[in-house]
Amino acid sequence: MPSRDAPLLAGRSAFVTGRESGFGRELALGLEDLGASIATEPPLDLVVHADLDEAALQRQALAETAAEDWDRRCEAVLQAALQCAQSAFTALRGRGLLVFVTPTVGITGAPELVPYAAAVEGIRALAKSAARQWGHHGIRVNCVAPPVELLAPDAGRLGPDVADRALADAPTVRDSVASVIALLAAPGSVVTGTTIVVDGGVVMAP
Amino acid sequence: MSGTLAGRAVLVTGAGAGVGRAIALACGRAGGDVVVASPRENGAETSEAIVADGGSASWIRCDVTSQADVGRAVEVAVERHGGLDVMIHNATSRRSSEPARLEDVELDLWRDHVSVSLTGAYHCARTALPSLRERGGSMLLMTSPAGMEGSLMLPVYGVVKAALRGFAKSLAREWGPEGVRVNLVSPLAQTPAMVNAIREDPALADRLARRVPLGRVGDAEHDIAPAVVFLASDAARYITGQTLVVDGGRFMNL
Repeated sequence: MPSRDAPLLAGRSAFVTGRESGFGRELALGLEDLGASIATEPPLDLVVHADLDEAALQRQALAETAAEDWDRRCEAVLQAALQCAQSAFTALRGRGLLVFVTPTVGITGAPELVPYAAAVEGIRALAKSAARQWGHHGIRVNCVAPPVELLAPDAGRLGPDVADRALADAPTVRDSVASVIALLAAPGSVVTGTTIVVDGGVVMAP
Repeated sequence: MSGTLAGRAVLVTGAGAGVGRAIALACGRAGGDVVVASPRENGAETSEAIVADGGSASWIRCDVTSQADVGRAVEVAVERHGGLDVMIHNATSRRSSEPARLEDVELDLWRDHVSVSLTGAYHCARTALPSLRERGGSMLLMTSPAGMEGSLMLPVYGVVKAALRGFAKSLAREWGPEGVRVNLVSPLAQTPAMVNAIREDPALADRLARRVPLGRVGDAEHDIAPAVVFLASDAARYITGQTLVVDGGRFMNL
């Protein structure tokens, strides 16, 4: 049992998909700062799906999107999330937390990101259904929603429909994502099936 | 024919049975020229029912997972009616009501859901856009509470129905500047699967109704389809990116 002063994730073993580069790497470092040990195999306490093919964030009008690009930006992204969930179910061995990183473009919708935004909303429902099915197994499933620019800074601005970010500092948002995951991982927590927006206050749920 | 959809060409996918059939009938009654898209002959029956009711309809064999089929269905609308005003993507996998455990879901079932609901939406949207843009039209997609709140029994159905909401919200933003609206309807309706389940277990009807403030499960033709016709009509011309929940109050928006 960690002491009161120990970091929130002390003694916890975390697997982060996409930890080789970009946002996944930053997030894995953030979780380590909070005491987690980053693992590559079971036993695990925490699985975070932060992997993303950056090509999925290629902006393009849907009518001009070729079938293979639709597949790569939408269907493949969804399928990767299913496969992560299924692997996590086995790896968590009946207790623990699964977190999906689901950028806010799913909630708001975003022009020229139709395939990816569709996938994100699908992943949020995947998380909710998994939370319903796996709760009695002791597995909780949640989503954390940062601004999409955090995943691919080159994706550019969301467009005129979304206001300027209230919080522009990307490292701060990354640290906040790690902190939120640590809180979600609190022993005995009953938080499951939810989405927590971490974006400095741009998107506010009703 | 007079009505809120008079002179409008409306294409409905999955219109051979269930909610899709009810939507097609209601669009016909509202004066629309209905293109009934269905992969099976039941599409012909829907079309005949609309014509028998004094409406205008034709059936085109259409599997929405095929870009060529969807292309041909839109061509039919353009050839017969001069264009397309409303694209309604209602088709879902025939395995939609098959319960599943997420940890056991096989790619076969997954692909079946994804190809009809999502690949189908992609085909319908990109094929219809030139016509919809020309006529200031709109697209409608069917979603489900399984997508908004997850589902214990039907997780894969929930995934694709939620994905359609992300799709429609984004497309509404993308197409808004072109004058094309995109909306969703989330129905609670007696489906053939539900009617069968109630026949097996008559108490099921009461259990379902108890969760609905209006006290009953909706009828596709009289409760659901009129809301779809509304969103397709000019009365909804300032509504886009929305999910209209038509379910007797079972699910209430936050």
